[in-house]
Amino acid sequence: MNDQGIIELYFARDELAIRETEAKYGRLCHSIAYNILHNSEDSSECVNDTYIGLWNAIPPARPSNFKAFVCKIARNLSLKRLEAGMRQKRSWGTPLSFDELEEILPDEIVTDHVGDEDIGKLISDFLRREKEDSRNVFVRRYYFFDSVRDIALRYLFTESKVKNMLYHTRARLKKYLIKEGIEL
Amino acid sequence: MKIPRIVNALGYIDDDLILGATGARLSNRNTWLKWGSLAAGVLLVLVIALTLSPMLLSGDGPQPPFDGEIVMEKYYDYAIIEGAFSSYMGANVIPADRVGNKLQDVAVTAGWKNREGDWISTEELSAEIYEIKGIGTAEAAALRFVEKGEAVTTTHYYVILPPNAEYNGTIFPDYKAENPVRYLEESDMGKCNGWQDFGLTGEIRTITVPVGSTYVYQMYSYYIRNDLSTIYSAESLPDAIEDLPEWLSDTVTVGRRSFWYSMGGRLPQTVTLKSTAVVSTENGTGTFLKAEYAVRIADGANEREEDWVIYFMEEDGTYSVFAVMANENFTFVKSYSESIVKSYQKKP
Repeated sequence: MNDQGIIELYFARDELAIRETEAKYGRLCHSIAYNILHNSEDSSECVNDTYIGLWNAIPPARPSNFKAFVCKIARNLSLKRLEAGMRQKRSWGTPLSFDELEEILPDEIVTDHVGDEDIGKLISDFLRREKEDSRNVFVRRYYFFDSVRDIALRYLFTESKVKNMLYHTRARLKKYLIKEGIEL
Repeated sequence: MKIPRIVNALGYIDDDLILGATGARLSNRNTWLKWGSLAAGVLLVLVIALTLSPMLLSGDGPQPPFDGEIVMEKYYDYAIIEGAFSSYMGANVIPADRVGNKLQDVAVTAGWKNREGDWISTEELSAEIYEIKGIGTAEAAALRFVEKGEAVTTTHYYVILPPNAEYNGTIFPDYKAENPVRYLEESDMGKCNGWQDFGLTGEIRTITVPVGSTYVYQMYSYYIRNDLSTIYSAESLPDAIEDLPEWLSDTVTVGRRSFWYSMGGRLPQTVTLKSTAVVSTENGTGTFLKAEYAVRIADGANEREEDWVIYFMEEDGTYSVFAVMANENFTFVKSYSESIVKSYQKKP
């Protein structure tokens, strides 16, 4: 079923919408959650929460891009669960790439009046200026939290090339954000 | 510990950037081979498939046209002569249990038309119109012939639709019920690593390695039809499997597109058979007939062409089909689907 059809099912409050979403994007959701949580049980719960989130969001929302919408919900819910787990000092299987990102923009230097959405917009603008390969590798690493190895397999690069691309993209992004006045 | 703000901020990047990264960019074969030692699992399957299949090494160029290009000389059609349903057109066959009360008797002109849609020969037949349960007659109805025509039965109910009707999935059977799935294994990634029933007595391994293969799964959609006659209950399938690929590319004969409809609920405008080949399984227990198609779909104003690879198998006169649509890199998906069918084995 195409995405439009699935959205129509949500609007019709037809529970088939969830089954169709699961069939089409369940594995994608699970991979996003698993990359963040590294725990099968937590990931499955996050995926289920994603479906509930979609059910509650559509309607009134009518996402122009359903796949990206699903990804965003799965990512946000997984990060929330991760944060809750971190507060409870739960240990997680594999550390995420947070340190690499914090190098770009440490929390303490971001002005309070700049919202996350504003920063996201600037990152989008920056990524559009990047070469397609660099852009996609960056998004895979820091949006989907793929391992360097998985990115290398996906794009058929060596791992060292992926690391090198990420290093230079991070450096350029940092420079760009400073230029755009995102820090104090 | 908190999630850094930049991590949350990245959640707001634009949709097209996210989607751009959900596709796979595959480099040339040399890169594959250079990476052969590292690319385990799914990627290894690809390398093996590429190595074993010279045909697949020919690159992304178009396939040579199939010699027996389809030329539809004539097709059977029918039209209700007068009354409220006279503008309705014939469509698929619908199961009898979906049919409700009889509405009226009608006279029908049936017969053969040429490629331009002009009648070549006609016969006048009596028929009955029925309602379809849960569907208003403004959307669709069912027709059963009382007199047998040359190419229609008196035992089946044919859906009739008003002009420009949207084909509605609710009036078709749920083909998912005819696609049994048998997973033997589960991994941390879920039910992604197992065997599926294929054919009368066999099975194929659909996902070879779960780890790191999520993107592979996203690259294609596949459908298994273990008995084509369940879809074509009103028609006689070709006697020879060699005739099936061309038979399924007919988009003109009423109801012939049911197979395509069963795979995603879309009706193609044209189905072009590009090539056929015989593929033997690795253990020699089965033989598939492979057909590649270009399928043109008009989904509203959104017209597109899809690439399909379809593998046919015959066992005791029953046709089974493994159909794969490539969402992304066609060459990769072709090699991957080939590795799937080559895994075919008799069920233990």
